[in-house]
Amino acid sequence: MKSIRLLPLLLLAMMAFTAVPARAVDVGVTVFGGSSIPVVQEDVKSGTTFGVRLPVALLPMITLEPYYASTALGDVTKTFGDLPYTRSGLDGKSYGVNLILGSPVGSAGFKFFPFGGIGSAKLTRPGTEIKETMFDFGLGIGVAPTDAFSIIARGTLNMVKSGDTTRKTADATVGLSYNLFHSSASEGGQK
Amino acid sequence: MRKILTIALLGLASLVLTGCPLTTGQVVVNIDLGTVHVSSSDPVSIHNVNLNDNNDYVDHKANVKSISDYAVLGVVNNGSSALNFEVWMTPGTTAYTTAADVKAHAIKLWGPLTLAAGASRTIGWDDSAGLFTAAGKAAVITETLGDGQFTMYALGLGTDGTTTSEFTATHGQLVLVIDAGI
Repeated sequence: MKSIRLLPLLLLAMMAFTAVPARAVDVGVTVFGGSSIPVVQEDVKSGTTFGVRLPVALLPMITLEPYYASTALGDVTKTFGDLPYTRSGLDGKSYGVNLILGSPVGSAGFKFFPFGGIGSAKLTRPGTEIKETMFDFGLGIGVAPTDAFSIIARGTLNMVKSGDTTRKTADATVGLSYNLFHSSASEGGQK
Repeated sequence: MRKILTIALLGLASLVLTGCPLTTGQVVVNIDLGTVHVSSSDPVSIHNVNLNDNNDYVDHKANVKSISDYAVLGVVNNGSSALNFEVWMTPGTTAYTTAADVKAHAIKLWGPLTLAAGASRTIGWDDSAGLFTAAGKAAVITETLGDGQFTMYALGLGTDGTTTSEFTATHGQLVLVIDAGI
């Protein structure tokens, strides 16, 4: 079942990589952090998220971006029968790959890009462990003062499948990107 | 442009193929179990549950998909002997009167919570969630997706697993986090 779920991802990667030789390639690294807000989840509260992304711009309008993220949603306290009870928030670890229409790395200037991705997430707390496929999509904006650095803000909706439903969070993050590698057919160089 | 469109369609297809319900959420539902008392003369505490009496459940009944979190909460005051506090359940309405009958015909839902003689303890939400059995979770899901009626039994078993130990639990609650369409 896992292999079937990952098939579209492999197809995307194959399509992108087969077009690489004649194109410019930018490889960056982004560290990011921000807040994670549960969407219609009464048993957790808002928390934090941070992680790292590796954007690889293979085509003028296509960037593949493997990522790893760690999320800590907040505890929730509710009163039942006149007594308060606290349930620990979910701790999440996720990894996967995003497909970006555009690129958060590369040349200096203003950045705007939609993205979507697929990955694997593990959510845990006492008595609960969810290990499932995760989908995400959102929009990113940013500015690159030079070709090497950019500051990127993103809004992301994450959805971790859980049976016939999903657990969803809306993430607002800010990241700092550094362009590790740049080459093009015309320039043939790298930095 | 055609390639971008193809890739976007592949991504969309992957979402559709794997199923990705956007309009669902997690809703907390609590059922008041009141006070539970078990003694040698009254070895089984019975509580009939009808989820249809719970407004939160009724509001989402038509769109319930599953349950993602379970807990039995309350304050337990133990008697003079160490005990294992367990909760069992049957579908529908039943009325077993002995621990042996309950263990023979019901499904173990939760426990054991071990308490020393004379101990008093508030059952924490995190602690309780870890005491639910896999069979108990499956049974509660079945009832939640079904007619919503089942019977819960509280047992206080001595450390030998058979004799009854006296205890009282107050502020009893069954807490379910329901995955439902919104």
